[in-house]
Amino acid sequence: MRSYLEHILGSFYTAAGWNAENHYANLTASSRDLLDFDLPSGFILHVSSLPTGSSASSGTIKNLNGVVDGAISYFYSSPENILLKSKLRSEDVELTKYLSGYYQLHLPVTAEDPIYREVWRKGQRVDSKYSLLYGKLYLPSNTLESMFIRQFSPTDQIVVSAVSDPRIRHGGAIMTQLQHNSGRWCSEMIYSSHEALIGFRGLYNFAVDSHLPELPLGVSSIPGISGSSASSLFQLQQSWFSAGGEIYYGALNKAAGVSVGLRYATSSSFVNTPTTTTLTLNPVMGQLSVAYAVQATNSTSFASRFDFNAFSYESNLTLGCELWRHKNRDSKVDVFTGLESNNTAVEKKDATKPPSPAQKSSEYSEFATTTSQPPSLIDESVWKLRVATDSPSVRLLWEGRMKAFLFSVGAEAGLRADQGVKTFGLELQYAA
Amino acid sequence: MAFRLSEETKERIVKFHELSQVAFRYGFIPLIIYLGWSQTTPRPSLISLLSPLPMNRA
Repeated sequence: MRSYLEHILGSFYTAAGWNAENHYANLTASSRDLLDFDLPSGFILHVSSLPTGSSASSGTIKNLNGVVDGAISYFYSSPENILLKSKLRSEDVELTKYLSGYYQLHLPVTAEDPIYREVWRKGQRVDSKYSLLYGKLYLPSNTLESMFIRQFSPTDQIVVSAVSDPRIRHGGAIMTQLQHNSGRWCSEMIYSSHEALIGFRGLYNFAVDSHLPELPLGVSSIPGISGSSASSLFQLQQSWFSAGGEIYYGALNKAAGVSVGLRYATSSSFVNTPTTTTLTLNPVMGQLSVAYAVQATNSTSFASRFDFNAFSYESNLTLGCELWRHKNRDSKVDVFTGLESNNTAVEKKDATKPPSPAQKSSEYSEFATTTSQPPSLIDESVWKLRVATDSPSVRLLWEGRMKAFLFSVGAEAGLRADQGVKTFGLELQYAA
Repeated sequence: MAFRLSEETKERIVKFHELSQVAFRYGFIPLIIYLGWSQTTPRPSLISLLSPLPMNRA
């Protein structure tokens, strides 16, 4: 389950038009969420609220083996009300975004022209830059985790994150990332005060959105372009290669590192199956990793990864899958596949009252929406399973929504006879 | 000739570093809450900003 911070960050990036999929760190996001998902440990409860469109707060209580600790987080973002642009309430949030699973990549889009963000009033520019402030205080350890994001333009931003804890060396550490993201090319310059590390990351996409709109379901051609050309253009648009790398050097520990990666992704479920294939190589450590993730149907995704170390000849095969359980909104009937249902998702109305003109107009627009889109389903829960060969174990996770609460129950057990359940936990999240 | 700091200056820098860390640790979250309060129109109640428990919007 994604944290409230990740969800706020996602909402912020969506509102700011920033594509975080282009970060080199997210090169393997599609398979990572299926193979390396976290399990809750002990009992964890998160309660979050959004008192205004710019501020949010969240509290966490955790009980592990009788030891109770917690944390409290606060967020502030500008311009005003940008957090209202996404669904943040646990009651109506899109579960596919909240519960990390197969990460559906989207074809990178060229950055917006900054002139469209300018707001002028009485001859003066009054628009404000996108920024986000975040602070989290862990209790009782009194550790502060903080982050500041400031977007200078649609293509450039700075991210400063810091941790303050009297128990770590120098009382804390600070990391600064200067990011440039033009859609085709994304680069990051990194400096961390921990070990005085400097680094550079980059990712290049060999295809970006060529300003052709995505074809909605039911539309088979683009006006002005013949059907076959449109579909081939569309198909070309929906698969692309990306290549990236990173290099870093720690001045204090005199250690350096480098890694390179390749990604091939297809994103449209209309013309092909969404898949992501990645290859990453770390020549310094001799580590090679190949991963493949596929969203086989609307309800199932599979992933596999093979890791090999050329120096130690150690290898590891990891397999993972997820199975979504959907619930139809009007009939309340559970189904395991969302493809064959023909029911529309128009909510039941009170038939005793005559509809007002405003209601009528909203119903017409709702009708227009529902007739042009596939039957909408509410995702209710997901099962995830992961097995690995290096330390034979099975990891099982069940996540979903129950009323207004998001829950996550998971366990990991060893496959050898002398191993039992390694981890077990329950996590609840409520956001209003 | 190498530039050398006097012991007194070094102590002052260390003291400033410690004080700024304390100020950051205890002042950063109040700063976020203050910005959330002062930059929002109409101004929300402080209790709704402070509490992570859902409350009626001001």
